[in-house]
Amino acid sequence: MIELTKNQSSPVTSLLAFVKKRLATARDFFRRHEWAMPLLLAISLAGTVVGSLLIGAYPMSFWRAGEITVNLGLPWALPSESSWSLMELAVIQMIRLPRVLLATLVGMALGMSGAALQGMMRNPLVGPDLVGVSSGAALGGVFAIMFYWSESATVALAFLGGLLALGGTYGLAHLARSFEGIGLILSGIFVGAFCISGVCFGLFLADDHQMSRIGHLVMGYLNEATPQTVWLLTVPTLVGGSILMLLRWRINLLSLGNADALSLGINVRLLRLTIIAVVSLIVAAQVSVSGLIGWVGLVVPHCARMLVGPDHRKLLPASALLGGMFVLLIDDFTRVVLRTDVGTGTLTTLIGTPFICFLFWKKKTKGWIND
Amino acid sequence: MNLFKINSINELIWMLPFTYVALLSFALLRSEPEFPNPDPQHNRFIKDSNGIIRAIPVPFSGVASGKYWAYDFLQKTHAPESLVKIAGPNDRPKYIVALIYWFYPLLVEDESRWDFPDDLESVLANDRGYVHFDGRFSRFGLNVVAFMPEITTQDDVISGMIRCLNDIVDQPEIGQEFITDYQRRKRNVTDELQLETIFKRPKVLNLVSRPDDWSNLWGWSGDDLELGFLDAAEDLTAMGRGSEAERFLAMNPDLIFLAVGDAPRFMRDPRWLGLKAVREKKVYGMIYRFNPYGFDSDSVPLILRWKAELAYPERLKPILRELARDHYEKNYGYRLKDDEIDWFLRMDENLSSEGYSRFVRINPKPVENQKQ
Repeated sequence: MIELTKNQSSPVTSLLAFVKKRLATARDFFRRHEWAMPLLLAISLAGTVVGSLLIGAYPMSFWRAGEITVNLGLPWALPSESSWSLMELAVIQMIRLPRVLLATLVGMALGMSGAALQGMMRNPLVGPDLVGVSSGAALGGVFAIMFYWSESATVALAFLGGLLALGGTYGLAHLARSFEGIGLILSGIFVGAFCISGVCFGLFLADDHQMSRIGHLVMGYLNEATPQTVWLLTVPTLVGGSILMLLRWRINLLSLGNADALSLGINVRLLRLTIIAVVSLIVAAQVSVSGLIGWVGLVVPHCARMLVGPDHRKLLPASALLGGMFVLLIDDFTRVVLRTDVGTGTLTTLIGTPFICFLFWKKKTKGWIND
Repeated sequence: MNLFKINSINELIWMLPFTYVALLSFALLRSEPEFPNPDPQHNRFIKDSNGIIRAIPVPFSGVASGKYWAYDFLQKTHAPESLVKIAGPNDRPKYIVALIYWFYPLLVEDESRWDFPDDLESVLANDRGYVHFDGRFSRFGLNVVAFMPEITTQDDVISGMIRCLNDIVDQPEIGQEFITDYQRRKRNVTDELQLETIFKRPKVLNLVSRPDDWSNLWGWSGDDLELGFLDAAEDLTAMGRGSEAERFLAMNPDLIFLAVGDAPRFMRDPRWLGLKAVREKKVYGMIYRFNPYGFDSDSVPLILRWKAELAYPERLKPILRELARDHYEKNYGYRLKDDEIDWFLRMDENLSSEGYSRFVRINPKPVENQKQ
């Protein structure tokens, strides 16, 4: 039996030391070359998107799937004489592409919204689902379902619901004079609970068809992706994301605190209202096309912050890219490995909750509660 | 501060993924692939339940079906050889416990028919020119026939399904026979009942609830209004509209039919002791059906007769056991044993209810056999 002394290191210790050293080198490299991290994330997301398009249950070579993907992505018409079959084209164009894009956009929307909300509210415990905006959007969506309204009306009502919920949370925190700490979280829990009870009431009143749609909304599914649903999310996510990116400097100033932001000439109230409206729009669009996908908006910005730091110029896009990858990989797992319709929202929560618990344990709530 | 100011090349790199995701989204604007029309030489054409012309391969290459459509197919065509795929392996246990297993045991035991995938891509990969019933597949060039008509009455739906499914398997005359037989069996009940001479109509409640929770009972109006029943749940006609227990006490129905749960348990529950139906022991667990998930052309006339015999015992002869045995023997070539009829009539549970002794077999089992 070998006894380990202070001088003798175990293989595990050596491995840990080696990893630590490599990580330090990598961190140093990314600090010195600022272009490297965005490039790495951009290439990773592109690789995940393309890789997801190449895999699936339909038997097709990677080469063939890649060929179809490239041709679909090019701005001209598909060749009339092609090596692929009509069914192979249908699989890529009609099944995989909408689903992959939807998963990516859902992750991007939630990651970016979470980062913006955390910056605006100066609270890393905030996410779209914790401040009631997701539940509010779901309630709006349920209203639209109950009245058999169209998909675009569903987005509109979900937007209204999300906006009202976020406004309600913010207003309640304002009344409690606790904008940035536990008061905000409590307000979000109150408003979220109210909205979820509305969703349950909808379930109570729903007929079989409505009940199935509301069930999908609550559990968060990506398996019903169509070009229409993708476009319903693409436009708000990219437009809203662009607005948030334009406000990146201001969000940085806002995260310093109201007094500092005011002294630097920022119209704090207007800025906050703008961010609330944009985030509500993005989350509403996401909820109305894919249902409640929990914890992405809370967990992903934490990961992004570990990679790029708290600067919103980098944090916002990094959260979007990591969110896109996270949801896409989970959906790939559901689609390719499990081959069954487990709700994506269920899996993101299943993975996200232990992760946030780990952070909770590691950080001992440092910087989480400002009150 | 200029909103649009880009400070470094790094910020442009951050924009790269957003750009390519947006560009890739434009690929969705392409028109969907158009699949060629079926070759008329190798297909025959029928009208589906919505009146749309559909191609059926000649020779008939088999029908792949998911979910519970196999019940409908088998029940309305009696052509198990045409059903080459039924569902996934996880669905088989649901079929084994159903009456279908008695009639088509080989079909249920044949593993090759139980490997039908759930996900869309696998369905496309495994298609061998089958005829499908799932409407989602039509976008992908698969042969899909909708056999469920969009008509409101149960009889019209059942007739429409029988007609369409028998057209698919190319036996329209047999389909017409089934429709006629179904209508005749229902008419026999109402003719024998002579409803127009009945003036005292019972108030009937059909209940669905979890067996261990009677606190939230759901009312639903069945199709038994044609037996002259008064619907005790008239105010709760919408399916899924829940109601709390007190309202059911206020309804105070004459008869209660339980779709889920058993009658003795319901009648023992102290909350329901005040109900007239409980006092008079007129609570019955619904008999099992051939097709638990769809419009059941075998069971609808039998259930109609069963309810009528319980509600108007003096009007109808107690011949339900013989009717059931004859029906299944004629249609499926399977002669139900006494034990099997006892099972699907739920004799063990319902025997303590008023009037259920009329369904007892003529030569009941000796006590020692029951123990075995």
